[in-house]
Amino acid sequence: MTAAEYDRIPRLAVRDYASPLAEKLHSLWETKPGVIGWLASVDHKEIGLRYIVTAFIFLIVGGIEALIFRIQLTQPNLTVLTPEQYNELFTMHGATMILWYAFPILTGFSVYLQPLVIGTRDMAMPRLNAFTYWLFVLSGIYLYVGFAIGSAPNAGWFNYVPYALKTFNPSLNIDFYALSNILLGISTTLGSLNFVVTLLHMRAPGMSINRMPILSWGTLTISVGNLFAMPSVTLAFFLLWMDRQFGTHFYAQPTGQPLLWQHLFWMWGHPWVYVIVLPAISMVSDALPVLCRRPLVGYTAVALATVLTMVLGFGVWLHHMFATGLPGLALAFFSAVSIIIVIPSAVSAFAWLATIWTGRPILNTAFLFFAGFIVVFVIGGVSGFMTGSVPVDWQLTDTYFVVAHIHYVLIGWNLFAVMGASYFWFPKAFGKLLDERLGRWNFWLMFVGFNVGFFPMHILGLLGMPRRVYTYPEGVGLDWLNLITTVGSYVFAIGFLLFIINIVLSLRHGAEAGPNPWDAPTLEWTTPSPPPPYNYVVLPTLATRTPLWETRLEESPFQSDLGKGFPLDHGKETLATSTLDGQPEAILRIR
Amino acid sequence: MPLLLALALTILFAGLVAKLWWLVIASLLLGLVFQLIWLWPRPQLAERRL
Repeated sequence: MTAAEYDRIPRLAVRDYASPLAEKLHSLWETKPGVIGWLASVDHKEIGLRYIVTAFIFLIVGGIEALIFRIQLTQPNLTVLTPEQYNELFTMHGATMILWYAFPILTGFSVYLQPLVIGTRDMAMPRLNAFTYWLFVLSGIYLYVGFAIGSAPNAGWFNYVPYALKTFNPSLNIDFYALSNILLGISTTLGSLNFVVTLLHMRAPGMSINRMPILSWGTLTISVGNLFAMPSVTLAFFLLWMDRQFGTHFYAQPTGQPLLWQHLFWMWGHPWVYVIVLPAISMVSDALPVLCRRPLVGYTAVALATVLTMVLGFGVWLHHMFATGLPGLALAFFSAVSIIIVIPSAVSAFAWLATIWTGRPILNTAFLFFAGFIVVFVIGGVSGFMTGSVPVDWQLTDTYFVVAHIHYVLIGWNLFAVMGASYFWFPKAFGKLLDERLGRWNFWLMFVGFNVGFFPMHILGLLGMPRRVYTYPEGVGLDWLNLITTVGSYVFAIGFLLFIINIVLSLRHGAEAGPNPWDAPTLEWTTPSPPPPYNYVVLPTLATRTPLWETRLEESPFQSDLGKGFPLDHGKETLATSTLDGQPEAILRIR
Repeated sequence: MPLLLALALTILFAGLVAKLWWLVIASLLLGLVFQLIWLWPRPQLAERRL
């Protein structure tokens, strides 16, 4: 292709997915057949689905680990597991869930959805996108190879020194954990970079920054956040590996500082909490209004709250270290920020409630999961608010109260939103609707199981049960609550199993979805279900946030032009647009 | 190419954990070759201003 061809002004063409143009685009963008083609695919939809499937596999593996050690805790003084096995299992469970499930699942949704919702044909760097996926898979395999050869990490997912140093852990277990985290960090950083470029420069013409879906605000915000947060944890693990293998003294006494680990880890670790919930709650902010048949209440406030949460998220890491003897002024500052961060979270919660209140909700499974998410969101937020207070935290730190809080945040804010989003976007990805009857069983078993399983942990913590103990004595009031927790976690697991069954059955026998089963207003619903490899036969031009609802909302005097657009068929081409206004700036050829 | 580069990087890390320095160097060199192939031709040649 010559440079002159790129200098052309693109012509307009009519949107028709059965036209010769569509056939030409199909041959340009389709993944090559066969195993080599599958392995070499860079289609964002295929990569996104692989991310989601792989992350769900990690969720199941991490879940099985939890179910095993819950048996150990069902009654006092059980010896189903040895203390060492128990340490390894809860460490693998935490690491798998937080690092290899919670973020990758959201990355999967983002990789699948972002190019569709912003009206482009792929990510800015499709091969980098594939690279980040493969590196994520291989980093997980790397960690589990260590587990399989008897070198499982055992110092908890936050891996505190000095226990993680060679003095106490002489085998290769912590090295596997440290290096797999560095590998995963490379994947996360590069993936975030890809999202930043894609979302800032590849939106459809007319999609100015204030017309970007909240879903994209969530992904953009956490991607920028990742670029600032990841170096800290990568450095933390690298220094740990140096201490362990080369005898340096970054953390090791007498000259090293064990608290340095905690600072470096939590400087990443707390922003990470927002990284693994903000895209999930952004999915709720986009999908819930569709099911309430009205636009989101307070779009601008929710978008700003998303960004503000991430920014404040960088100023709260010390609340994980309130009990380490830091100066009072530092505690006061970090306690204040930990409490202030409730405000932007509450903005989102009130926006959802107002959207439901003023809308006409469709009470399907996706809506139930989003409604359940809001309930859990509030409970998890309140327990976080409580532990943000220094004197309360001094009482509750390292008890089961904190375990309850982290599960309300990470399962509630992440998994419930992901489940709702799965029911909502599954028809777009596969052209079939998930079964509603099974879906309702799926929701209620998970919602009841979750609350029965995890709410009693708050009380266990208040009664003083420390976290990470492999058993507990009889007759101190912990027996029944632990039994209930175990029962609840198994009910929760059965609920999730129904989701897998629902997917399998619906793929075979599900009702046809059509392009827009929910009567949704955004761009991705203008494509066939599933979308073709090139996404859009012509790149659309937007005039509002809700192009498919323009006639009924009369939001803008301008109308989006979805019937005509830029075909860009001289190769794998798409448009680059300006950051703020979304004006076409260049024709990009994607490789 | 993305899969091959990811594999090279993972093998490099396997060399690090096993302290097999020849494996580290071999996978590093292999990764550099994959990277050169990946980046050729330079991506900025594929963009023109409207």
